Amino acid sequence: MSEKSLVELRVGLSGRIVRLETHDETLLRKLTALGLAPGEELTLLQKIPSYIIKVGYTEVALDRETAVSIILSCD
Amino acid sequence: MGCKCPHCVASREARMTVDYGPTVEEALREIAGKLEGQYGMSGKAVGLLLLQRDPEIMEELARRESAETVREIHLVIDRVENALDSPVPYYVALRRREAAAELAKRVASADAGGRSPAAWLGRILVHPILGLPALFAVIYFGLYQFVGVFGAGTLVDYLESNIFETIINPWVNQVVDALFPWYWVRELLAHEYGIITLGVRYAVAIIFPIVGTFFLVFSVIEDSGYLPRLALMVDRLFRAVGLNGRAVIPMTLGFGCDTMATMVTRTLETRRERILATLLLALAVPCSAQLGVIMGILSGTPGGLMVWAGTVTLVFLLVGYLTARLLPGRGPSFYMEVPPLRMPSLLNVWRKTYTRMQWYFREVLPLFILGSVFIWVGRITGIFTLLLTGLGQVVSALGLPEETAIAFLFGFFRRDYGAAGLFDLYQNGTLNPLQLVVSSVTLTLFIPCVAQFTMMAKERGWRTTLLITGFIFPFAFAVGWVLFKILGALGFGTT
Repeated sequence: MSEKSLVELRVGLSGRIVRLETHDETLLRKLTALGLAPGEELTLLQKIPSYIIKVGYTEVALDRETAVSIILSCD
Repeated sequence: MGCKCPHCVASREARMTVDYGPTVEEALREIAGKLEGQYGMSGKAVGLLLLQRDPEIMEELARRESAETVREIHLVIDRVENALDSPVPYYVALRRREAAAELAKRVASADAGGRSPAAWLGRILVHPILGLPALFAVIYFGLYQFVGVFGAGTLVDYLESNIFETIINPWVNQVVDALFPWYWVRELLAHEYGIITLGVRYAVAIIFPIVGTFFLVFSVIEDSGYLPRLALMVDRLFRAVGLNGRAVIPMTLGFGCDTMATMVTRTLETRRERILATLLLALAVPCSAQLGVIMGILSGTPGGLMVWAGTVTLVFLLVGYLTARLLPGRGPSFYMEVPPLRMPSLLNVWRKTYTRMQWYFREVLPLFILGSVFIWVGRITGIFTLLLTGLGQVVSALGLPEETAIAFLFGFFRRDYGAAGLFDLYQNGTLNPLQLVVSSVTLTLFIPCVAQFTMMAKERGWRTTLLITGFIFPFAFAVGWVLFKILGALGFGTT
């Protein structure tokens, strides 16, 4: 088990969200509302042209800057 | 006790309560006990909003409770904030998610999913390479063919020449002439620049079909789930100019009508983004009325359209890039839910288009009427004559004949009129290919129309609007001058 940010994850792999590393409260709230909360498992679908991840039944597009702040634990 | 299946259990437990943990729960009880005023919801609900420092409920609190109570409640909020290791709104959202997940586990079952044709197509549309043909197809067929050629061409021509010019305008002119003996009153209401014959005609015969077809395409793009995919495809491109994928909405709208697009910049998150988008729309996004005529003029000049498009794109990127560096603050974060693709429902598409048209007419029609009034004032006071003399000297410096000054000045009041004025000059051979390219570029950059100018003032305030306009006017002519020098040195149009 190691921690890494979403940008370090390979496309097609999954990880469990450990925390969101940002001080931007609005961003925190919006990401949580989209289902990106600690404990959730996500799968990275693609990185280019934007990051797309799948959490539960939801697909979310993110830019790289936001992806950096998502910290995962991976097997 | 009735049925024990998860569905029935869940509906009996419909009043779901979330456990927010001891710290918050205790604080909520404490706050609820202190509240005296009526808020139309439970004390716990009010307390939760207060703990998250919701600005509206904070105001209500100050209005309905004694200063002493407000002070005590603030102490409770401070205590909770110190006790939790994450911001309260985030903490609350997490607890709710946990409760929701717990509930979902009891009542919902999952299928694998993700193998349907729609899911497959959804993947293709956001592929970095395979997604591009779809992107171009949407822009080419949806925007260029349907809005540009059909809406701005066929429909506008029909409404303009068959309805307004042959039926409505002659009739209005006659009635106004019969009713009013005074020249200036007749000019205000009818004839070439009148409120009815110019303002209303412009809104109904030119803008209505363009904006209507645009809204139709837009609603389909929106309802099918393609819009977020479009936004994520262009996010990186927009990032270069300090915006993000979300800005694709006002920017594409700009190719329909910049006035409407300026209004839609409201949907952008930060003031910084809104200013950037407003500037770029005013400077380097030609509206459909302009696009049509400029394409007509330049189609006869080999390479002209390329030089025009290249210059305008370059200006868009360069000014966007530099302004984004100049303005304080940083670029916005981009995050968007990507919904599954769906077949758009006709009823929805119709409803959205209809509501938007209604809203458009309410907001924009008055501005076109105001435009007619401005022209009227400009002519009656002689300000136009004065401006034309000054502008004549400027255009001479760009190697253009003085007649183009009229096209530029009136272009401000009717964005397409400027281009149409150039078209006349082109047809009677006054302008050579070099002059056509230089004046098309200058006109595109130079002027938001008067409706857009008024909308900018309404949305961004006068100070920002005057700053933007003060930059655009000299800048547009400067670009025209540089282009004139460069193309002249390269011998453009002489072969």
